Amino acid sequence: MIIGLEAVSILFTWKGKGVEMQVILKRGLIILGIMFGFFTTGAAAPDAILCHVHQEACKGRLSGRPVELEIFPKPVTAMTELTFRLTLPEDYLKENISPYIDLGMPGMQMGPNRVTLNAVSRRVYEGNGIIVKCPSGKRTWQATVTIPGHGLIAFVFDVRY
Amino acid sequence: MSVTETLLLVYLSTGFTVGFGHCIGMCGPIVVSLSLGIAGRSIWTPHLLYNAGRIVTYAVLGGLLGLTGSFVRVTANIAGLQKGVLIFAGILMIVMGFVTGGWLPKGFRTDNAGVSGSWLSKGYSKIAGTRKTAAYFPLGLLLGLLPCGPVYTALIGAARAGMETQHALIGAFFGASLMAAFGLGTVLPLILVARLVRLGWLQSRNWIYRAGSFLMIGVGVYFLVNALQY
Repeated sequence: MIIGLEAVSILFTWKGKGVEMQVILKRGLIILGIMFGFFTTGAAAPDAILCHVHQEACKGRLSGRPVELEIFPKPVTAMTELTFRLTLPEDYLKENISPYIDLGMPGMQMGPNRVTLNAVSRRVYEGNGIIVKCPSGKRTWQATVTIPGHGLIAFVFDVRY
Repeated sequence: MSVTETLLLVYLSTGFTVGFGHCIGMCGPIVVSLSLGIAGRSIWTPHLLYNAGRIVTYAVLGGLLGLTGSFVRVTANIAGLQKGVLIFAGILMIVMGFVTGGWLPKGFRTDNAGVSGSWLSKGYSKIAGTRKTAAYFPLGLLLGLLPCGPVYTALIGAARAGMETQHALIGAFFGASLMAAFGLGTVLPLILVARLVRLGWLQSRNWIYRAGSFLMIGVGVYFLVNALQY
């Protein structure tokens, strides 16, 4: 962001008072950048699937095959231990896959938060994780399910604080 | 490279990237507020002390989580304290906004040379505008407790690392080291904000100075509202 602001400010250099105006603009843009960073609202990834995680499982299709993600206990609450259950069709069983879930907020960098899943039955994988609370009050989270070798699918949902 | 070294590097780089992507937006206004308390002095020592305080707090929290291996238990216990810190930070920024905007009654005003004798000025002086550089360290210790999503996320990793070690004390040390590495990664982005938003420059441009004051008051109110809902 800073590098971008720097580049923009260099484009606007006045003659005469050039250096001074450049400094003013640069710092003004940085303040605007801080404000933008603070007040910006997260937007979900364009291909993410919205789901009502408190009532039902998140359902989608990856490479034409159904993928189902259930999170419990319900209602799904931040800062508590959660179980993530991924159900895949049987044809994945031919492969030795290790799916995992990355948790994050759409449009906001929260750091890596990965839930590794272990097979608990023929089609079901489970793992434990925690969705953290964001003091900004934003409650929309994204669970990106990755099935190595097959791609990923993102589910977007609201959690309770 | 060992797994430990790799994890430390991962946490350091996570702190750095999150620092630019998240902390500048969320903690930038606090850093700007603190910078306004450093009139006519170098920003380096106060901000390095402030950041050192934050890192110590992160390391202590990481140590606790590494020791217990339980994110939920520790964070539940410090939630009330964090709410208090959020309220404190909100009040700090509102006061800073009014003071730097010059919107306080004359008896309450501070200036670069010092502060007047009012209770508000004294309080302001103590919490942020102090002439004592060393005060930035305990301020960092305290504000390191501010509830923050990326810090929570890093703490989850510290708790997991603690669970995977064979001895609780090793877990505590590992958790503390990881969180210290994370905190260290966030220093550069925040120092950059402090370096770029300097009081001397702000003072010479009144309209930007006022805009910054509005921003601080707005963010302070935002913090207070969030604290009430937290």
